[in-house]
Amino acid sequence: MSIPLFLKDIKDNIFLLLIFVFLMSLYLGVIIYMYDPNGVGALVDMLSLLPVALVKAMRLSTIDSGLTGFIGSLFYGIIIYLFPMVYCIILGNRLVAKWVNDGSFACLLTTPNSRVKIIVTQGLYMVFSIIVLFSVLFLVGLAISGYCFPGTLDKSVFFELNLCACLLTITVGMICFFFSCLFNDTTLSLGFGAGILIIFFLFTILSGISDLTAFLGKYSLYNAFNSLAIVKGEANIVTICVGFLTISLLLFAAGVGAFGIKRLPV
Amino acid sequence: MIETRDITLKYSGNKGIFDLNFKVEKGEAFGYIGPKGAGKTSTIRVLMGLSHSSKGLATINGLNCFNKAAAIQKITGYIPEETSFFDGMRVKEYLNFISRMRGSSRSKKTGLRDSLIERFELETRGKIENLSNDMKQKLAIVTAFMHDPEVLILDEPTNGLDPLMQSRFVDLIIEEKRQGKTILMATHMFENVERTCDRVGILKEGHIVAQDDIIQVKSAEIKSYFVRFEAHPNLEQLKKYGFGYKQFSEKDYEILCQGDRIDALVKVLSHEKVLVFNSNTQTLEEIFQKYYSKEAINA
Repeated sequence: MSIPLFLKDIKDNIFLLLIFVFLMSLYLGVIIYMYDPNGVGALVDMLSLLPVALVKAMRLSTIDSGLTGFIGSLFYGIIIYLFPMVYCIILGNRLVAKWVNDGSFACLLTTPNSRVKIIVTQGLYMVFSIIVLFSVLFLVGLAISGYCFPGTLDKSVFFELNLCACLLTITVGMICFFFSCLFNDTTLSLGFGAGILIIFFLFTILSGISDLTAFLGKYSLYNAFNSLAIVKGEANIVTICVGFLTISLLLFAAGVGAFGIKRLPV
Repeated sequence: MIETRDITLKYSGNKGIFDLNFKVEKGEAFGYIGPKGAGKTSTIRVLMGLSHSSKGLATINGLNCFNKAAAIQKITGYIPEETSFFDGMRVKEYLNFISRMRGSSRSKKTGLRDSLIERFELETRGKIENLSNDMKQKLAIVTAFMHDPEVLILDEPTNGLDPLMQSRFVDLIIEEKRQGKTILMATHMFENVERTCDRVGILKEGHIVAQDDIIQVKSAEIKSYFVRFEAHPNLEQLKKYGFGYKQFSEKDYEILCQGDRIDALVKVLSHEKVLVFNSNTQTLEEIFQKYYSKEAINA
């Protein structure tokens, strides 16, 4: 890994990270603040006004009455797919394909650093920034629920939610990173990175609507992360984490490998 | 030492470079010339490890240009044909960043860098994207030379520079050569090569059509002169000595003369009263007509 390049990555992308940290923390804070310890009756009443299919698609058909379950449904249900997806698409493209596309990658290659070293640095920044994002969310969640509803949050389950969501996002990030390494053109890098993630997302939404479409869930990466199962203690955390880590590593290695041998148009 | 053995890199539409063989010895300056699109930049991209050749081997100091690109960069300075810098970076910030990427700390070795900045009057305040094209080229020059590299790979290094800066650049190259640096300079401008290089390789459509001593190339050069005579000249004399000419009016002529026969032309013209004698600026195609026509005959 190249330290000066890593520092440049932080400098170039800190603003993007801060925006997402801020937005997601705000969202999480508001959701925790909305929690009513006397029951989720009001929210259930409101949801009953909406079409059943929509509620199912939003993964809100079963809401746990505890605070952890409430956060699990409302924040780690759909929000946790959407915001990080956008973050990964933007960052993945910025880290590699953008510089290749505009030619500035050549500046890096005129220094005595191998392509592999440079590209590994870029991939590690992606992983690092996602870990920072989820660490902040974890701390924000702990702090706000500790302030509003002391002693109500199940900290170990909340940690598991964040750990799995973090590894899911790293996998998502590695999908974008891989396409960013593979293509020299930002249009293709963005198109494939975003395209695949949007398809996964749609499959996940559709799989919740009815039994006829439930099979689509099997083809979506996002279905591997089920916040309700984690809250209920039904999910095998180790398997999920090892699965995400394995896919991430494979994508990382494939991205680095593809970048190491390709002809660069810079 | 730079060496290529049969390197081939094909692009669509029969473009690319084909079986290139050349050698630049340590301490030698090699001019790599040819018109735009002949394959100069493609060759340099192989040397810099940006592309791998589909055939053949390119080495710098015995190191494979693709696999050992990082080790080669340690001893090499490179000016790309066109540099794209990072968005939003300031000039000083960029130079510091590149120095750190090269592994030298900020405080060390800025002496050479500062003298280059001064020499080329590089504007160091402000963002790179707001610089004019000639400033960007100066920045590329400073970046390539600031770590005192042993090997210099220069692709159209004087692109966009004004004549004063071009001549400062030529001086710099002459100094570097004196210090025993190995230099490969690709250009379509013969003037740059003329003053700096010992040997030239002439590239046409991806093939090296000639590798020669600079003096020999110069003698092959076809020069063209615009001449106005006071009276209708004796054309028989011109024909007899084998000079080609074009007549524009009764007294205005363009006379073509090979580089090693200028003396003969002067002798022929001494019998006439010459009012105007202008040497024509030539394109590279005209200069290397001899090589090009030879190539055409062989093909």
